[in-house]
Amino acid sequence: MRIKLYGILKDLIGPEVKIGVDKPITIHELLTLLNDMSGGNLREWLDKVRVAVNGEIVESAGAIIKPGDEVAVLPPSAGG
Amino acid sequence: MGSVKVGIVREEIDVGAIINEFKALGREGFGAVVVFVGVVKGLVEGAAVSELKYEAYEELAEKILTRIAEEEMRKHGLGAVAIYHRVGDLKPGDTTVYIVVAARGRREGFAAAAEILNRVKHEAPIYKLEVREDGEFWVIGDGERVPRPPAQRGS
Repeated sequence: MRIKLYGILKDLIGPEVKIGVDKPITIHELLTLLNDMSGGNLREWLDKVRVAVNGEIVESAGAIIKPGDEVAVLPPSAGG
Repeated sequence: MGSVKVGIVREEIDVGAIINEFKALGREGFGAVVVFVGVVKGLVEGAAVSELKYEAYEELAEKILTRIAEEEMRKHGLGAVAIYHRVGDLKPGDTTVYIVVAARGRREGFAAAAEILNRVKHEAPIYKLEVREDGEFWVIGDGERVPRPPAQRGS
């Protein structure tokens, strides 16, 4: 599963990471995995990020992501 | 539904052309065209800024800008809405975001433009890194600044 990251998250983890999962996982599980991969760097961002699945923001941490989904993890927006 | 134009763009937008197009709606009773243009500040918290580096999750950002434009058009009874946001490396004095609305009158026009700007800032997946004389800072949400992790500086 490929995950794209933006903004400060790109600095903390990388612009894109590959996670070796072959079964559906929840958004909460995904964020926990990413935090572990970053050595805990993501901890302070876990309750601030938004996750987009297949081009739509998904609000529920319990929502399921399937292998093959297009997933992006987004920090708080800063347009303007 | 009136006209909606949105985009994540790299170059400047010709605001005059949009005003010319929107002012034609005066014939249909839309008597106000309100324009907001954001500009990169060269001084923040007393420090000189050399660059703002903008990036976006572009496909999703354009989808969200379209949603904001359509919802605010309905809410304020607008005749037309344009929202463009730039990405790339911008210098002080460069334009960043453009919001243009055609409204029935000034009250609806100013209210709609302000609300659209607020929603663009909070909802569109757009990110900026502020390059200053005293370091590099990610701007988070509404003005909070977080120093860039040391390993990434200058990249």
